[in-house]
Amino acid sequence: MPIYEFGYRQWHGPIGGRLRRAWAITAVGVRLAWNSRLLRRMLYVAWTPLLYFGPLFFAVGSVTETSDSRNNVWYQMLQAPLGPQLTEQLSENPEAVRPAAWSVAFYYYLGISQSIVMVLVVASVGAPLIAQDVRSKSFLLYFSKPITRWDYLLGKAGVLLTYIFLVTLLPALALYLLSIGFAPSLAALPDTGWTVLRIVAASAVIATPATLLMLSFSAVGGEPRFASFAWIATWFLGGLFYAILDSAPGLHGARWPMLFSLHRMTTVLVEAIFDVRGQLAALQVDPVQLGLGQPQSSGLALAMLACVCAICLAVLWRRVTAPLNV
Amino acid sequence: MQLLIQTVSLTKLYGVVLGLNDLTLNLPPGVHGLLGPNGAGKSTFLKLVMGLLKPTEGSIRVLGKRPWDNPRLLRLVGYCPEHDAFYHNLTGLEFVTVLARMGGFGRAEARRRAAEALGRVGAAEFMNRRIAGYSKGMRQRTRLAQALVHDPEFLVLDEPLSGLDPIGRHEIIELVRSLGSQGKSVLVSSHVLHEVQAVTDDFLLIYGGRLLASGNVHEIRSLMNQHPHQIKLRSAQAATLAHHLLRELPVTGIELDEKLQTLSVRTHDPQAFYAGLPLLVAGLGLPIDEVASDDDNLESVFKYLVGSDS
Amino acid sequence: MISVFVLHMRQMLADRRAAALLLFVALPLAVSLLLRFASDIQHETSREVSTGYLFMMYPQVMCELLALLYGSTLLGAELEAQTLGYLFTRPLARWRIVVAKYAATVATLIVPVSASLYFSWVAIGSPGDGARLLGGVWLGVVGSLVVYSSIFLLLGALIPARAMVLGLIYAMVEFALSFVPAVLNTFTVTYHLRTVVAHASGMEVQAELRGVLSGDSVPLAVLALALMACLGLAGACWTVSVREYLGTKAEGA
Repeated sequence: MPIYEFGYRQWHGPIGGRLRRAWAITAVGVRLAWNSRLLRRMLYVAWTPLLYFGPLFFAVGSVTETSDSRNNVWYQMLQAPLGPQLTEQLSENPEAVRPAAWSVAFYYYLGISQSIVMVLVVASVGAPLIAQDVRSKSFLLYFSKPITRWDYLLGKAGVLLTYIFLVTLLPALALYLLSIGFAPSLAALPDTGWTVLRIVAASAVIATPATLLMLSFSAVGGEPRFASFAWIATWFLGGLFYAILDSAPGLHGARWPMLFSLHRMTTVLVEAIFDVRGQLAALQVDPVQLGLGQPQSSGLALAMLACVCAICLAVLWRRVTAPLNV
Repeated sequence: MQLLIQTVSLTKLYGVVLGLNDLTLNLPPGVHGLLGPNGAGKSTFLKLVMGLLKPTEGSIRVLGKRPWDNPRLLRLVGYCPEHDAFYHNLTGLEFVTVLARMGGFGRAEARRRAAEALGRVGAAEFMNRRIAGYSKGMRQRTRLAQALVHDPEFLVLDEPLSGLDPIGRHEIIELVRSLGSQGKSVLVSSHVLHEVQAVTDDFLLIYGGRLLASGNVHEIRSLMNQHPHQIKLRSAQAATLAHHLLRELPVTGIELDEKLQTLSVRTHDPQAFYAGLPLLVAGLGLPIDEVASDDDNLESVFKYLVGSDS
Repeated sequence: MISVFVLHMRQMLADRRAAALLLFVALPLAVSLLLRFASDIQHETSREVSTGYLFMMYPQVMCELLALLYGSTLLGAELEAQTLGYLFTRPLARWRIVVAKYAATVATLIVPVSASLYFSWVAIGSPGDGARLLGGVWLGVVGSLVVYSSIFLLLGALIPARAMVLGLIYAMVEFALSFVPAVLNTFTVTYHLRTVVAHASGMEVQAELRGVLSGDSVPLAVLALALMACLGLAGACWTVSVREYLGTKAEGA
């Protein structure tokens, strides 16, 4: 009679690679964060700007379709976000102007609306990511498994990136599909094809420094509440300092005040990615009408954000091993 | 005589999870053990006693008073929690002193009491070091000290021996015994039976949120008729002894191992059995080399009660 | 209560936290110094602009952020560290513990923020006649710390686990509402703080500002702020007296 051993059996199959380990950390983190009712509600609210931007794209479509649209209610609706000049040009020359109008709309959506929502989501999700591990000493559990610091950091970053993309990339892509649906024909696709890439790039620009900065705070803070506070303070104080310095006599339009504000630098880069000023200049539309203010150096913003990311990486690299040092 | 703890149909629900279920109890002053496996409801019960939780149903009174937000009662009660939590930037002495000051003592008096309490638990040596650098045992002693510092009438100790080495355990057991002999009441919670047995013979046995039994372990055992007592005897004439035991004494069953010359006897009336055994053996001239019972102890009682409950 | 007060103050300033607090309150001072040396703020700024600048920087943002950090986590921090059980098993009524910790929070924060405010005022050229402008803004600092701490304390008592994020949402909504020129904004803390600071600092209240601050005298605004603070504190004391914090779900982060 054969004897079947039901004890421990060695695994002889292939072992997953590094990405799979990082993915395991991400999957657990995403699931844990999802347990929060407050976060789920914030995510639902994060999609509500689509209730404004959806009709906005519908208005663009309606204005481009109607020959004499000046009395059209959608024409009036576009005056506020696009300004009178751009709206008029859109009704007269829709094929040429549509890409500019869409760029402006996506700039507002990603650069302003969703950036603010993202602050709340990141504060909620990101604060305990590393701080809680340090506090509960589950660091020791993680690093008793065959994972490296990079696997750990990548996994944790994956959690934040997932939720940031849930409120930036995903709704922006949904908005893009909606706007194609509201366009008069599929000819809008080749006209605006680059928009998808721009959306991805803008989302990456919003997500990357936010993720690294929040993880740094979580690693350094030691307690989730300090990490949360540091994140909130960075955004709000940065915005305040920029506003004060930019409006100070003798400093208006200066290049360096924006370096105080993460939000401002991100917005400048999103504006550059969608080439808002370039497209408006080609149409001879005054950007002041759209509330864009003084042009800022996207190169400087990119350099500063890159520095911030590099510093955050260095901090994370050092801090992730620190609890293991005796 | 004022009861230490009095509960009437005490029930605690955490949402849909039952922490304690219809617990009715009149506990007299003295030293008592609170026993049960993990998740039985011990910590829930202790938190209700300390007024950290409110009953969902029923009532609880400690020293005749309701415990919820009752500063007057808390003057008389000291609590040593299970979890390892401190203000890590303080030294042990500072930590116990500040908690003593919250009890209403002046600065100098609080400091004196804190030093004394720390000395009693064997923590005087390291009381001026920061708690962040303490070992588990040191932290446990400091936790005990803060419970004792205001000289309470009633001490509630949740797993007081965890983290201690054998010498430390012995010292704390002796401390609890001395508190009992001084007239203090103590309620010691643990899931380690022999530790509690070393401190007291009076127990509350909790399992699945319910009170299975309370009182002296021997009394409880003797009430458990559905589980006959097991007594082991070793004799060179085991078979003959077995025959006479069945005839003469209140025995419900015997297992005979001729090879090892041992008898395993089951009886519902151990007192009558022990009373009759010497007379029988002497009258018949039968030799007995050993009489032993593993049955009349807390572990067996607990096993029987839990086994019959599940 | 004194011992709880001292303990809480000590915890707020323990180890690196004192340095972090000082660094935080030094940030607006750094911006003020930047303004002094990089802009023309000393020469070209009116009392109204200076008041507005100092008001935004201190009572509006800094104090509110500090109140958010310390007020909302007053109980939550102890709960997370599992030290709340020690406090609640002392012969001290729960509401006294809350009041003592609240008082310690406000007292600890007033000193460094006041110092930072003074040096910022000096840095931007000591505007205003004498110290009246400074005094007016300082009243706003005190009012902001007292009222916002009590509101965030109440929030922290009600929902300890999510108090900071909820407090942030509250702050954003309240700020937006304070600009709505209707009955609604008279229920906001910011509206009354603006009133106190504007009048106490001797600022001339222009007609266009009437919607966002009151043209009435300071005592009414102070009364409103005091009422809000008392309601917040009383609400927190009551909540702590009736709510359980150390059950399975409430305990911990």
